[in-house]
Amino acid sequence: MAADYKRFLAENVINEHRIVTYRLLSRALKVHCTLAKQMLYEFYRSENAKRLQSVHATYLITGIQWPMEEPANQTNDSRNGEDEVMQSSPFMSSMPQPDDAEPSVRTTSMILVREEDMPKARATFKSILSIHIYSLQSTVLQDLNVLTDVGREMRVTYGHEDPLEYGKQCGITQNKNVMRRSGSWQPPPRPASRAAQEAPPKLGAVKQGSKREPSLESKKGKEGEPADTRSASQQSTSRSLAKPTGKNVPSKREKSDLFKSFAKAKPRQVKQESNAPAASEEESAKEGEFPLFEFIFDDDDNDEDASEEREDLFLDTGERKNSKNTESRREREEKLKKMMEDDDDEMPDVSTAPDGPQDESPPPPPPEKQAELKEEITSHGGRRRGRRQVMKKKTIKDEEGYLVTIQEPMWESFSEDEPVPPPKKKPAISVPAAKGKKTGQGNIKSFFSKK
Amino acid sequence: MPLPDTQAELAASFTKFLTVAIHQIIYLRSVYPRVTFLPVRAYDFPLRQSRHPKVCEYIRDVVAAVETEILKGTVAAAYVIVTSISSNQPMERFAFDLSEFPRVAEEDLCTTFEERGLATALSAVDMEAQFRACLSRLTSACERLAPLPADDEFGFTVCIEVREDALPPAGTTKAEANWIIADPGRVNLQSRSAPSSLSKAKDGKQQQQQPSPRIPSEKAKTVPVRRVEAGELRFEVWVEEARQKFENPPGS
Repeated sequence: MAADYKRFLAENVINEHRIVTYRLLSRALKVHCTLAKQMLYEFYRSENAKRLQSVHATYLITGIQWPMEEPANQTNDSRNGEDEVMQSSPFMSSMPQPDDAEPSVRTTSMILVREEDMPKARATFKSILSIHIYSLQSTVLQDLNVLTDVGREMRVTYGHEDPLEYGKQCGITQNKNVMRRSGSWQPPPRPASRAAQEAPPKLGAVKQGSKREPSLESKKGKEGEPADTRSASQQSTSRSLAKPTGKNVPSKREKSDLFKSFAKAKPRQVKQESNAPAASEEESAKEGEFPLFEFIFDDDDNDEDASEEREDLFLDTGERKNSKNTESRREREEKLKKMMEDDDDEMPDVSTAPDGPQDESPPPPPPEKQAELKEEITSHGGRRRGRRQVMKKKTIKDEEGYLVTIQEPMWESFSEDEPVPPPKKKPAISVPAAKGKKTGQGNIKSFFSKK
Repeated sequence: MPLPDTQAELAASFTKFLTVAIHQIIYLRSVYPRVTFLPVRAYDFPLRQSRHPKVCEYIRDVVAAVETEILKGTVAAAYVIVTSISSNQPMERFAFDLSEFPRVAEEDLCTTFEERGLATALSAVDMEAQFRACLSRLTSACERLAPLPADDEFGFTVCIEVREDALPPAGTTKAEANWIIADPGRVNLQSRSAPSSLSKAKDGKQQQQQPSPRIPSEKAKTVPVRRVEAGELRFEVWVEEARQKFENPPGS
């Protein structure tokens, strides 16, 4: 080890005329930074003993400087002469009352100086806490700025290493409580299922709604699969509601549980998380032909809060991976099911008994919800149009800072194709209604749904 | 930055580099007071740029004229010469050898180069890295040069050396009259090929005619800087120091 560093430094500093900082040395030789500083000093001493001025150094002085009497004077002392351009009126004006206004704050300064400027720099310090060599180079450094290039080189060469691992080796200051998550992040089924219900009102994609409605019928036959049971239950729950907000009642119940489990995490983030996978799940569950990723991107486009959903990196990346693989719908659903069952954080009633409680809980509230909400429907020409009172979900922050979701009835207009399945198990109608602000959207939806 | 794949783009990227290099050279040699230079970044490298508008304008004009000549295919090399004002002698010469630059007919200036299949799989990052390395070497090479005499004023000029078979840019139009023929004494540290070089008149003034014998080799030291190869863009950079720098005391 001892010979290595001398050889390394001889090669780099003397032969190749590179600048070597202690950080670069510590990463190259995988030694602690403090040891690197000592190596630099030793090399500097030995080389200059052999031949004077063969190696030059810059130093880092840490300490408490004398208080600035006159700003104009002090700037030049500890810096290179080139920075005189900095002493201009802005600097003066930023320090109107140097010491009079308030008791001076004890400021520890770290100054980078060339060895030529060392005596002057040391004179500016009231007390010096430490001095160590910052870098070595073969020539006199005229511009301190070139040291930044060493940082860039370091970042390029060593930037990919995991700081948590080599941090200890190199002496990086680290918070002991920091841990890296291991394994891939699995989206919990609870937010997934809830999101399935929340997705319609949250996401602006009107496509989703009307698409779902006709496609639901076609998919109905396919729901015998076990892989579908979960999504089926989601679908059934979603279908069972005449209004999208109907889903919100069971979802709300589940959501509050989720909020408890994610109490430390941001509730909003969870909600967003749940939306993204829900949307994608539903789409994957329902429309096998329609590529998944289109919906995600559409959602991002349509939704003003797209940024929030993008924050949710875990889920989004997971979903996009799924979509880009363009798996068949069945594989997707199996994956979903697997994901949901793998997750530990879930409420027991959701993960272990996916179907039962879900089937039971949603239907009772939906009819009740349905009864409360009014509709004005006209239908002619094979198209139901009208205004409907819809339960809309609003998330607001109450006094304590909690995000609270409340439901309010609002009037929305909708338009959808006949025949509308009357059974309450098919609230797909409500989905477009919730989001469908424009009646024209129904036409476009039907276009896509014909696939 | 996108890859230069036409001659026009090649010339443009070289001229950008030349601009940056000239600013850095005049900073490093303290041709003008160092306080007049602003720290900037180019190619992700810390550099200095002069803040004086006249200097910037001059450099811009010079480099534009060089680019015109490059596109015509006449340039063999470009030199940045630091001269002592008092003695009118060149002190140092920074050479950018462009003899390997591709030469292209005028109608093909915007035609993309054919894939040579050699090592032309070049990414834009490589070119930037090459430029960066060149500038970094330039900086360290300048530090190894003997310092210029402190009590003298210096100026700089930019010369181009014309290939043997090319016509020198002389003419009557305003654009072509940018270049004037340099006298050998002022610029020839070591003439690469033809005895006559051309130098851009600073501020449009005529250079002082100074009769001087042709000294066979006036250069005292050459410090290589770097050879840059970025696809079709190939040039070498080195620094020459004139013997006058070491011999003549200022004011002689």
